[in-house]
Amino acid sequence: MANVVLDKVSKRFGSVAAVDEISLDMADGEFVVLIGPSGCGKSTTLRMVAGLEPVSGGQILFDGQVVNNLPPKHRDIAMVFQSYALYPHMTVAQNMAFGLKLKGYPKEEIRQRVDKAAGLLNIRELLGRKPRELSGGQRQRVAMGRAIVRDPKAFLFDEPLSNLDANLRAQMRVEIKRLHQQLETTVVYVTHDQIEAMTLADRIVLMKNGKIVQVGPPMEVYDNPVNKFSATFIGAPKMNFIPGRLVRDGADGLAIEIEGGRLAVAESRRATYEPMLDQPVEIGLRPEYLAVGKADRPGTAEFEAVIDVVEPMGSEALAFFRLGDVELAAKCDPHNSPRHGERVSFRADMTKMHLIDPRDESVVQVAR
Amino acid sequence: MSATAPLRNRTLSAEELARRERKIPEHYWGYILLAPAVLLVMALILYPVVYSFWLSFHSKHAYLPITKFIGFENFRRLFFESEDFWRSIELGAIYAFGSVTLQLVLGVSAALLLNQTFIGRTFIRGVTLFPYMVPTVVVVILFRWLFNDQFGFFPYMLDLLGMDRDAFLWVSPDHVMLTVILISTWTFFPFVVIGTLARLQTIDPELYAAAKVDGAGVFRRFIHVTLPQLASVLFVIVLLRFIFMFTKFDVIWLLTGASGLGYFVRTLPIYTFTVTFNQLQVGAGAALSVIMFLLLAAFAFVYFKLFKREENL
Repeated sequence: MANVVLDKVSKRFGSVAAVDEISLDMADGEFVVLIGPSGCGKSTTLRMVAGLEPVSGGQILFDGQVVNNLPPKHRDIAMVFQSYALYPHMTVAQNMAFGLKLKGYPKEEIRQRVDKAAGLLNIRELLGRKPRELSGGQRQRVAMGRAIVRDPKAFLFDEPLSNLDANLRAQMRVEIKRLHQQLETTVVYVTHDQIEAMTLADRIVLMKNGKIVQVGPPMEVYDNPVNKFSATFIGAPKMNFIPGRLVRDGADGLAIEIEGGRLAVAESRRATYEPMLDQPVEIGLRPEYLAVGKADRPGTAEFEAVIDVVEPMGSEALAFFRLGDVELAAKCDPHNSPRHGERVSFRADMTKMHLIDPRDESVVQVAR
Repeated sequence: MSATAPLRNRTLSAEELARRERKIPEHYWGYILLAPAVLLVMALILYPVVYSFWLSFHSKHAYLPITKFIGFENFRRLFFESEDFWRSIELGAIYAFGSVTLQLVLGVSAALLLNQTFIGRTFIRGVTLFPYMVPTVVVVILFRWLFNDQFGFFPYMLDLLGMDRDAFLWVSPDHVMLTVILISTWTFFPFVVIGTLARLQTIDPELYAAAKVDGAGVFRRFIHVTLPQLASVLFVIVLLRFIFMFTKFDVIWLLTGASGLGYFVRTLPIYTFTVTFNQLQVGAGAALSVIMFLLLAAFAFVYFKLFKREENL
């Protein structure tokens, strides 16, 4: 177990900076998820931590020791790959034992460790099989088993669930989380799936174009995105964005003028938003803060729209509608949802809104 | 209106029904359409093979109109009375094993190198295939000069190395087998390169990453990742190359021809040719080719038995 520190780490391919001076401090036992769109540098970052990719600048430290020039085998890490990367000609047991064998562990200890890891992952009955005789989910387990037997300082996962179908993915997600709770080893986990990031992470590291956009616990990133990118990337269904203009409302109130209505700004936010007066702005509001109904309580605002499509999903339903050019979604009661073509009132919870400055797409931060 | 009534509503007259019955049933169409291909295979492959089996049981002269059934006499003579026959099998085996081994070593090494990233890789990859594209006649004429006792490049290299060029004549009874093997290796190793390189490029790079994380160095990565992945393609390459080399005629014949030197590289196919066209014993020649065919079939059988399990990797 180790704390892993990235200090202004960069990776350049020619003139392109795939990773651009990122700094990150991962605590011992922490589960950190690197997430971002493809090409954001998350995998490259992981490979640099693993030692598979040389670092172009900055330092990587394990427990305070610079490991920049250490080859992977001396970093005491274990890695799980997207394609599982099991050795096809070896049995499951041999696959799991390979690393230990190369390190010169005694046979008996290898056997014990493999057996223990296999028990942990429920794959004891697979030990004698070859990878080609296993299903995707089983291979995934073996790949994790191969990592666990090493008892490494850190686990590195590179999109480990991407090749699994949705059901299995959900199941393995829970298992990875349970495993981490048992083993308490530092985990660096790369994914492009925001659900994996939300469900697994102690801290999410959101990346874009080789830079870190935001770092924080999942719910904090969810509730307080720093910019429009972060607000869009984390959370499903996606956040709504409504273009408008911040105007004076009454004597000292504020409102946002949008297509077909005016939304009064909650009192608690007036001071923060005041400097943006008379400027074009964008409202960011998650679908769960839009409801069918009247603005009958403080801090809410109301507007009307015609329902386009309703998607019942069992536990909830999503109602889609248009305001001018933008499509919005609201969560509603699946047993009592509006119908296509119906004109209804929506209540927006203005205490949960984000005010986005369209000039740099940053979210105007509210004092908490 | 009535003239354009829908077809399916029209009732068929008895005569029409009968005519439909007379049409060729659908499943016969399969045979009819297959027939040209089957006939072609029969005429071009089956007939010559069967004919050569038939010939092998006869005494037949190339020019004289004599054909006499003699049963297994051709085979008996070859097996029990012909030293040349056994010698040709021995030389053929030496030639095939020698050249296939060298092709494999050279081909796999070249493929491993060409799989690395370096400037001009595409160009070098193209150049590597040249030997395979040059007609054998040209290759042999070129090498004749390269190996020439007086003006050749290789004897000159022996000079440079301070060795006595006359003590190591490339195209001489002592070394002609080695020379033929070297020429064949040069000509045919690109075949191994193509197959191996194609497979190398499909190996999942994550396997190498996993092996690195596991602590495997260059050598262990080759043994535990590359080789097992290459096993299936090498299996096929070795089988094909061995069959090709065991039946190889042109390289050897073009280098030594009917000259006295040819005696020292008279492999089974060369021997078959001499018996058939120099000694004009067509029946015995046919018997030799039948033996060659059966030997290769046996080889393939044993080979599959030994290594089949590698295939499904």
